[in-house]
Amino acid sequence: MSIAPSFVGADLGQQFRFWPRHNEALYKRLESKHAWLEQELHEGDGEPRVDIRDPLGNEMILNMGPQHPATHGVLRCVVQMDGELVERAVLDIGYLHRGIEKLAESKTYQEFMPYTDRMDYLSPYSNNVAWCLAVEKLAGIEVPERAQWIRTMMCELARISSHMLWLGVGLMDAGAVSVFLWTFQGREDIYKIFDEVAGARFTVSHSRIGGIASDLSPSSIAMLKDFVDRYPDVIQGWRDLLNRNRIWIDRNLDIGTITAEEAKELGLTGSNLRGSGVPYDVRRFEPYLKYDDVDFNIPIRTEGDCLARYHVRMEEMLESIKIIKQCLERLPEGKIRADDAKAAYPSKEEVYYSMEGMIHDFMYTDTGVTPPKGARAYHAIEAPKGELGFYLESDGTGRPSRVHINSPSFSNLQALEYMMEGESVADVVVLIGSVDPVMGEADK
Amino acid sequence: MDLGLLWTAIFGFLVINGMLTAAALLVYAERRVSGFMQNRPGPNRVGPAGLLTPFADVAKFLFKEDVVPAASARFIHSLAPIMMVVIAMTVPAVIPFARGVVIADISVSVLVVLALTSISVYGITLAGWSSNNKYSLLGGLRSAAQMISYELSMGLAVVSVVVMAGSLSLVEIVEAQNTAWYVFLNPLGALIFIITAFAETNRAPFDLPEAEQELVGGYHTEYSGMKFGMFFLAEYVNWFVASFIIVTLFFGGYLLPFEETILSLVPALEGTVLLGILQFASLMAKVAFFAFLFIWVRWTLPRFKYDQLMTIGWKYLLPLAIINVLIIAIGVVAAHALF
Amino acid sequence: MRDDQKNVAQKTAAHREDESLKFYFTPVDPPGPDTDNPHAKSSTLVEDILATLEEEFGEDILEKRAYAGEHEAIVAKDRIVDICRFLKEEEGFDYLVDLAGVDRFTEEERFEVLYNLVNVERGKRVRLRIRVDEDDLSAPTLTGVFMGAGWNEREVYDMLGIRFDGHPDMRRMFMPEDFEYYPQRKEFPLLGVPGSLPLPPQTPEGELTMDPFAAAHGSKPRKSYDEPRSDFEQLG
Repeated sequence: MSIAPSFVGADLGQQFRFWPRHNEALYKRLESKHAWLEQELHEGDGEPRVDIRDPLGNEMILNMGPQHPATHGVLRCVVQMDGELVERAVLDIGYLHRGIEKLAESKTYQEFMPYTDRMDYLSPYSNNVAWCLAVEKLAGIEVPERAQWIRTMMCELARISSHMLWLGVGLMDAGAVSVFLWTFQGREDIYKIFDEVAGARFTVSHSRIGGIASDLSPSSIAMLKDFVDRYPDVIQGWRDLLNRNRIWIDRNLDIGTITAEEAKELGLTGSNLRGSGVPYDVRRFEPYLKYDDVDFNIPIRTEGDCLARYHVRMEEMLESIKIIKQCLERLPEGKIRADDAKAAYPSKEEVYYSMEGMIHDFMYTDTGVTPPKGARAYHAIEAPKGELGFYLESDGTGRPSRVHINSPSFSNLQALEYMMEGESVADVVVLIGSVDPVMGEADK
Repeated sequence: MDLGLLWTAIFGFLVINGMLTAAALLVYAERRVSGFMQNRPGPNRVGPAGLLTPFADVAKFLFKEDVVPAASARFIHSLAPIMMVVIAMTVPAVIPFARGVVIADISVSVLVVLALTSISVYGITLAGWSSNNKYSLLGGLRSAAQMISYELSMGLAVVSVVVMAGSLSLVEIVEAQNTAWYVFLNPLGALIFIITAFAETNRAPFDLPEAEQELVGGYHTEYSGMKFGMFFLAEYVNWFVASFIIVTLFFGGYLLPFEETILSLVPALEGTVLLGILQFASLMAKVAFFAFLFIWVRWTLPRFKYDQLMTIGWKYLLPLAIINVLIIAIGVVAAHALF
Repeated sequence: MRDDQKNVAQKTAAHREDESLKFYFTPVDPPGPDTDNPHAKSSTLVEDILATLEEEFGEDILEKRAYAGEHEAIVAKDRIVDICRFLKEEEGFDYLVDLAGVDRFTEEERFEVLYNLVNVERGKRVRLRIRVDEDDLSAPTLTGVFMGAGWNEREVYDMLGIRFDGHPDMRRMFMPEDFEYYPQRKEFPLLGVPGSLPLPPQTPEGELTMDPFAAAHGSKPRKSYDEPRSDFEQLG
C-alpha cells in the first residue's frame, strides 16, 4: 500500500531520486527523521509510522551546498537546525573529487606538476614546491641554493595571496563586501609578479624537479621589492579597519572555540592549529628550503576562536613579507636547476644547441626521474592552509606507484563539523571562512 | 492649498514616476559609490558615464524567464512582490515636498506611514513562505522578527516627535521645525529613528533577511525576472522613502536652513514659486545625503548576526527610546509651563 | 607441481622481469639506508623511539626500515591501536598528521595502512604501517585514540575498501554511497567504469543519465518544454 501524500511536494522524490543511498546515509548520520521518512514514503510497505502532516516536528534539515555562495566551492553542509541554531552538522565532501592520487600513478613525476596547481588553487606555487621537494627527497636530488631562495620567496608570496583571499572572502561572508575587492587588488599585484616570474598568473607550475623553470628577471625583482615596500602598510590598514570594528569582532569572538587538546585530537593544522595555541609549524618543525636561515616569528594565539585565527593569519602575512624581504637581500647568484640530466631538465640553450641536451630533454620528458625501487618518503611543507605533505612510493619506474596527498583542507574540514554544532546559521558561514578550506585540495 | 482631484492625480502620477526614476538613479548611484569605495570604476558602459545601466537592467529583467517553483503557492508567490512595490510607492502620498505641495494632507499621516511600513513585512514574509524553499522561509522569518522588534523603537522615536510637534500630521511636524530642526532638540530620537530606518528597510548592516552568504538570496531566492525586479525596486524605493521620512521628521523636511532669517531678509520670497522650488531643492539635498548615508554604511560594515540584532533592538534601542520619550515629554511640559 | 612446470613458471617470471627492465629503461636497484639525502630531516630519525617500541611490544614490531632519513616500522595489525595509544600517552606523540592506504598489488598482504604521528614538543615524527590481507579487508580503527583519524579512515575505506572495525561512521568519503567500486585499487581502470555513477537527468522528468558522454554518443534529450506537465505542476 502506498501512502497518499497529504502535502504538496510529498511525492517529489518518487519522480526523481538521485543517489538515494548517499542521501539516506547522510540523514541516518544526522539521526534525522528524514532517514526513515524517506523510506516510508518511497518504499512504503505499511501504515505510516509518522503523522505525515507534521513529519519533522520542529527540526529542519538545511542543505547548504554544494552550490551555495558561502561554501567556498563545493562543500556540502547538511545541518539539522532548531530555529536558527545548528543542532548537528554533517559535511559531505567529494563533489570536486578528481582522483588525482590515482592520476599521479600514470604520470611521470614531472608530468604531475600541473595537477598540483589545481589542488589548492589559491596558492599554486606552494603546491608545486611541495611536490618537487617530495620527489627530490624520494630521489635524493640536490637543489641549487638560488633556486631554494627563490622557492622560499615565492612560497611566502603564495601564502600572502592565499591569506588575502581568505580575508576578503571571510569578510564578504560576514557581509562586508568592500574589503573583498581591496584584497583582490592585492592579489592582482601578486598575480602580476607571478606573471613576470613564471609566465602564468594563476596556475604557475614554475617549480621543476631539481630547481625552478626560469630565473628571476630584474623587472620581477623590482616588482617584488615594490610589493614588500608597499604592502606592510596596506595590510596594517586592513588590520586597523577590522581590529576595532565592533560588528566584526562580535561575529568572531567565541565562535567555534577549539582548545589546544581538541585541536590536536581533531587533527587541525596550519593557522587553525596555531590559533588554538599549538606551536606546530612545519617551517620550524622540520625546516625545508631556507627557512632555517631567515628570521621570522610564528604567530600563535591561545583563544582558539575565529578571532584568534583571524589574528594569526593577519600576522602571518606580515611575517611572510619579512621573509620575502630577507630573501631578496640574500638572494645568491648561481644556477637555478641541478646540473644532472637524470635529475632535472637541461636548460633550453642546451636543448636547442646540443644533441646530448636534446636527448636528455626527451628522456626526461619520457621517463623522468627514477627513484630506486621500494623507495618511500614523506615530505611536508607549511602551505598557507597548513601541513601539505606528499607521501610517495616508487617501484623503480618513472612513475610513482603510490602518491598520497595529506592535504590541510581535508584535515581542517573534519574539525569544522564539531565546530559548527551549537552555533547559529550565520556563524556557519563565518566558521567556514575562518577554517579556510579549499575544496580542490580537500577532495583531491 | 487644496489641489483639485485632477491636479492630485497628475501630481501623484508625477511623484510615482519621479520615485521610479529616483530608484533607477539610486541603483546607479549605489554602484558608482560602491565602485568608488572599492577602487574600481563601477558601471560606465551603457549611456554617458553608465547612466543608462539601470534601464538596461530593467530591460533585462523584463525579458528574463519568470520561473515559478513547481511546489510554490502560485498566487501568493506572485502577490508578494506586487505588495512590496505598492506599499513602497504609497508612502510618498503623505510626504510634503514643499510648503503646500503634498498629495494627501491628512491629519494622521504619521500613522499612515507607520501602518504602511508595518504592512510591508507581509510582502517579505509571504514571499518567503510561498516559495517553498528553506532559505526563503528563514529569510521571511528573520524579516518578520526583525521588523516587529525594530518597529517598537521606531514608533517610540516617532512618538517623541509627535509629542514635540503636538500633531500627527507630517505637514505640521515640518512646520513646527521652523524654529529649530528636531535633530537638535531631540538628537537621541533622531539617532534611534535612523538606526531603525536601516533595520526596517532591510539595508546593511541589517540585511539579514536576504543575507546573501547565508541564505543565498533570502526571501527572494526563488524569484526571477521582473518579480525579482520588483523586490529590487521596492528595496530602493523603500530606502529612498525612508530618507524622506528621516528628513521630514528630524531635519526640517522641505524647510530651508535658517528659513525664517532668509524670509525676514527677503520678504518678497514669501509665497512665490521660487520659494517652493528652493524648498524642494533643500528637501532633495537632505534626502540625497541620507541616501548616500545608506550606501556608505552598506559598503562599510559587516552584517549583524541574528542574536546581535535582537540584542541591539530589545536591550539597547527600546529602553533608550522609552527614556527618550519620557525626557521629551517632560521637556515639552516644562517648556509649556515656563513660557 | 612437476619440475618442468615449475621451470616454465620460473622462466616466465624471469622473462617478465627482463621485459619490465627493457620497457622502463631503468635499472632496478634496492634502496639503501641513504643517509646522505639532502632533504633528510632530523625529526624523522627516530631509531630510539622504534627501539622503545620494540622493547615494549617485542614481536609485534615486525620490521624496521629506513629510507631518506625516515625511520618507520611495520607493526602487527591487531596491535596498532595499543601501539598508537602507547605512543600518545607515554611518548607524547599526540598529533596524528596523516593516515593513508597503499595498494601494493601483491599476492600476500596486499594493502598497507600508514600512520604518521608527530610529537610537537620533541619535534619527532614517526611512521608506522600495518599490512592488511585481501581476504580479510579490515583493520582496527584508530578513532578511539585520535578522533581525527575518522575522515582519513573513511578515505582509505572509500579508496581501497579496507573497513575499519569500530569506526563510528564508516561511510564513503569522496564517492557517493551508491558507487560500488574502490577506485584507488590498482585494477580499477583509470578512466572509470562507464555507468557506475548515474548523472542527473537532463530534463526534470527525464531518466538518469548512465553514460557520462551521452551527448557525444548521439543522445538528444527531449527539451523540457516538450515534456508533459508533471502531476505536481498541475497540483499547484
